[in-house]
Amino acid sequence: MAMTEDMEFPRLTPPGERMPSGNSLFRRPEELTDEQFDLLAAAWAEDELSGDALIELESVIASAPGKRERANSFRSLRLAPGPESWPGMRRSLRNSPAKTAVRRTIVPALLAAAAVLMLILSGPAGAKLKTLNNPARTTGTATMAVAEIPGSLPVIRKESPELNQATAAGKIIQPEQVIDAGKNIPAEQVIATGKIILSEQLLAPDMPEVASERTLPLITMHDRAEILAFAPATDRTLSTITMAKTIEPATLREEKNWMLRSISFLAGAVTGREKEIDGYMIANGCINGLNTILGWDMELAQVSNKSGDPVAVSFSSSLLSFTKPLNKFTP
Amino acid sequence: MTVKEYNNAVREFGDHVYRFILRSIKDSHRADDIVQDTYEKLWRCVTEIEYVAARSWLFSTAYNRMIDVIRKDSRLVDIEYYDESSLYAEESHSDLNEVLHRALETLPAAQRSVILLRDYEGYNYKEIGEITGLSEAQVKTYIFRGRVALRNYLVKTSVWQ
Repeated sequence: MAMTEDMEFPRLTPPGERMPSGNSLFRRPEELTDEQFDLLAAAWAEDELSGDALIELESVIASAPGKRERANSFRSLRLAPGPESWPGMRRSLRNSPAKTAVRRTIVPALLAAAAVLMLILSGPAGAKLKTLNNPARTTGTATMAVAEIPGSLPVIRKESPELNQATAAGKIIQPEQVIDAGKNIPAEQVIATGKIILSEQLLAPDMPEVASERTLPLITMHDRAEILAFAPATDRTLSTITMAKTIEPATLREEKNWMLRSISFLAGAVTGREKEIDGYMIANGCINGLNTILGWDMELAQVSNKSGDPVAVSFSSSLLSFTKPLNKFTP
Repeated sequence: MTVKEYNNAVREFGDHVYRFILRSIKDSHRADDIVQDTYEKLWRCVTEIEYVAARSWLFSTAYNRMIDVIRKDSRLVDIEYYDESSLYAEESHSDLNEVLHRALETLPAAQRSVILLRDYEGYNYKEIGEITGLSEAQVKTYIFRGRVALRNYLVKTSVWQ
């Protein structure tokens, strides 16, 4: 090995020897193995070859006829997505804050209104409403014949003490009774004749359902509201007729008690516990619900005396505070 | 990203991410869970992510979540290794795409994922690298090797001569 002395640093000079068989190491593109060619072809199919690499691949392909087809086969190796769709997509969709607030407010309000409406309809007043709205079919406690007066027909007035007594006593009135009663009325009391449709759903299980249609002098035993509802406008003079009432209207107290009993029943069904519900609990529940939904800070507290009996209710909020003594008769 | 944009991201990319994960792990329930988790995560940082970046963010997050799940289940196959014997089972085939998907199942998880991202979503190597955390060179290598493995599967199963 030759060594050159410099001023200060010694330096190595590479020798001139050459490897005797160095030329045998050179390769041609045609010498690539199939595996190597495949990798090259895969890159070519991805358009990732350029310059010398592309030239070499072309030379390989030119050297062997089957190589082009082999290289082209990589171009068809493309996966296409299937028809699968994500089943959880709907769950991941979000509502805007405004929509959420509206939904949280409106939906419970509508549900509450529906529940109250159901309670009312299933209560004593509901039974009366059904009677009034469905003259062809009477349900509930009324044991009366329902008269339907077609608008095109004249209407007469009939006073029948037997019918009034029977109705007031809650007896079932058979159509024949109505007809007989109509025949007995004095001629001067008959205003006109008309068609009456008598239909009855009897509450007593052993009684047959009565439904018949007769032409006879009438008026029967309906109250004024119903007569006005079915009479044509020209017969509004009928409003002066005093009719026998067959259903006593439900009192406010009955309705209130019915509502509380119903809410108690619903609360028991939901919570699984028998607990008597009072007005305070309902009001407190409403206030807690509003606090939760709207983020308000209202409070309703019951004030009790020394013996533990509630004597007043205290309400407080940022805008209003008051204390109201409890009526001991409040259910 | 607004809520509207978030919902657009659910509608636009939900199926794509789901297919990618489903094809990667072949378990519809787990795929559903992973995509749900991914969108939950997106929702938590909805104000921090721009809509334009949401797609690759979703794929990246879903991919990482999938890797976590696979590791947790001890089902992770060495990404450099695949069982060649499973490639050449004789089977009936009717549709090339269907056979290719069966072949895909035999690939290592990493190769499978990059090929799916490339073929299903058309991502370039750089984007695939960002999603999977691989270098661009690694992505290329996995794709080329994966293609060769798919071709070998087709040849060995007599789909191709």
